[in-house]
Amino acid sequence: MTEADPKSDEVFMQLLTRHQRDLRAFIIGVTPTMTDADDILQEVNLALWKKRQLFDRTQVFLRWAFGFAVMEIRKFRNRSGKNKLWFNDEVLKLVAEAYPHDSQIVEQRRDALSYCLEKLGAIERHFITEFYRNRCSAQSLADSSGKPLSTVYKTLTRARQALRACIERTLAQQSRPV
Amino acid sequence: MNDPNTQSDLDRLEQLASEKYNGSLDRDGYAELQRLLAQSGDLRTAYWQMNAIHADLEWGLFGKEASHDEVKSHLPEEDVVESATIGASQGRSVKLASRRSWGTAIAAGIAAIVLSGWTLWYLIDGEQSSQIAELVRKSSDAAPTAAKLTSLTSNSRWSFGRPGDRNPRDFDYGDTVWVEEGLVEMRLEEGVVGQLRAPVILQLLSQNRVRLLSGKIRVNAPAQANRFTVETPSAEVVDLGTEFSVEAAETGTDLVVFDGKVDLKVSSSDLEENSTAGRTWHFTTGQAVHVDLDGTLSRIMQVRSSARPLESDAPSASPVIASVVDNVIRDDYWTFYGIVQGGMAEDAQVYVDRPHEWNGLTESGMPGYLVGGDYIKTFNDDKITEDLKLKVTISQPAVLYVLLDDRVSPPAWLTESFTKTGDQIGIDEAPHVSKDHTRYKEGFIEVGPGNSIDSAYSIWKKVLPEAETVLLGSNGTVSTRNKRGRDVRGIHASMYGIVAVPLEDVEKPGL
Repeated sequence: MTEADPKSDEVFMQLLTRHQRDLRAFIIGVTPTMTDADDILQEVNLALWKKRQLFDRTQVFLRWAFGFAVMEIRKFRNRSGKNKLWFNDEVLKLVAEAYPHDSQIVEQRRDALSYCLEKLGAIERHFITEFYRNRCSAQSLADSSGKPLSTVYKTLTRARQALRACIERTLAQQSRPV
Repeated sequence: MNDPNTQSDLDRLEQLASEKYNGSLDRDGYAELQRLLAQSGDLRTAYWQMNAIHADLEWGLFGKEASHDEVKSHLPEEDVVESATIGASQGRSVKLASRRSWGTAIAAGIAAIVLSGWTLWYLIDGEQSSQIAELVRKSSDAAPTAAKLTSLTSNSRWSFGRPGDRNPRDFDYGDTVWVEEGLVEMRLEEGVVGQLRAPVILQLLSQNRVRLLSGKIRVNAPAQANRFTVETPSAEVVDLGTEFSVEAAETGTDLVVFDGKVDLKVSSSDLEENSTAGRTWHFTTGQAVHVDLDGTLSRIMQVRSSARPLESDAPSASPVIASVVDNVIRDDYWTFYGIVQGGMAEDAQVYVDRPHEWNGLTESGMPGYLVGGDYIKTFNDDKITEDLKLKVTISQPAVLYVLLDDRVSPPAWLTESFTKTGDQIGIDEAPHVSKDHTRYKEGFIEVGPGNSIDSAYSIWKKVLPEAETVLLGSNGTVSTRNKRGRDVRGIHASMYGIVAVPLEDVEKPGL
């Protein structure tokens, strides 16, 4: 992609759109809050669009994009002051390098997640659904359920732990020779 | 990861990561998370697995792929059209429907052009790239809404005092909201969540400051929020990472700290010289105070709540516990008793100043007659107040239960007027840090009965055939011997708990 042409831009836009979920997941992992993550994603999108002519279509898009993402995260962190909780440069680099780039495994884990959500206990599934799909705060979940806030936190934590354990089991079974 | 140390690190990482996703991870937790991530590649790999679950759930429970259509779907139809219009000729900004879609707006806006009939324009216009870049720039300049308002009860009604703005969702700086009915949640970009129960008048001044003109706001500010401030006509409350409520009334301001700590600054204009004006007080978990218009501070002795606050507009049973009053008179004593109507249940918080929870000793749960009863969250630090007197007023025929730590000798006031039932209940103690910064207990509290129970309590009862005020005394003490063999009373177990159940409920078969 050496010069701007509509078809190449359209392909780039398709790539950018297709990988929004992965880009956002990466940024969420290394930023303090969801609000920060969304703001950074916006700036990363902008940076990538500006640099689209540098993209070589033989490259893996996400690896290329993550380089810009890390730069934007650092810029954003430096602007946001000391009151926020950010990873330092060393940890940011280590964590970024550990991101799993195997898209097949990422997809398998997503399939397993859908399956495992159905396996959650009723209370855990209710809390997860309300927290994520219906955007309920933990406090409003506590109020609506009559549970202490600490119980809501614990239940959400336990649900995530159960989901992760279930995903690992599911993937292990899938990879086991028949 | 079979090495116990490694497994322990992994468990801790999972806990910290989850706290981060809950928005409850504090600065120390973040430092610990960083340390673990720097420590091992296995932990970093595990972290990304945890993060993937959170991010995928955030993206959409059943989402499979970020297709153009999916990205487009994050924008309301009119905004997609508006985006296209901007790209074509105009300079208006895009206002997005949700925070999550904000980041994807750039792609969405452009994708909308490419995919919704503007493709022809896009392909034939020689300036397309610069126009798209302009669209991107305009999109990035668009200011997101400062806060979102959502209804937590079916009857909620609010407005900004402008014609036709019934229950508006977007709450911008300078707006004043009148909550006329129900319960409304205000969610700010910084993660601060406020609950407004009608009637409330509140003005949004900035991302970290609101002006409460009248009514009550309950605030939950995450650790990373930046000194969120509620100002009232008579006081200013500055969050230091906590959960608290502020109520502004004609008589002054009430502050209740449920968790964490806040600064309170008296700011009334009615103050005379040498008064409390401008002075700052520090309040922590379990403390409540009323600030008079003349700047006088007084203790709020009890704070009532309901087990089902969202249903509080519906008719409910009358409270069994009418009030609780103690005999502590001290200028710097600000602790309150929490009366939770119908709140006794598994995982109910025991004390106002500790996150410990009531639970059944075994998996079969706590005795059924306690469940759904009114209970008092006492103050665990009262366990060392030797001359404590508590007056508990019961409003109807009831059974009053006292839950006494088995580590202590039952005090005379209890053995003389209460009967030991022979039943027990447990407490799941949470890790906590004392005022002298001593850290107590490691690990985590669990959910449900029979899990992680740390101490057992015996249940004592007193039948009250009619409404009555009952006098309770100080907690029992543990008699132990020091190194010289002398009896000392230095080790105090935890403070007792109080539950009241309507007599007619206890007399039901099966209870």
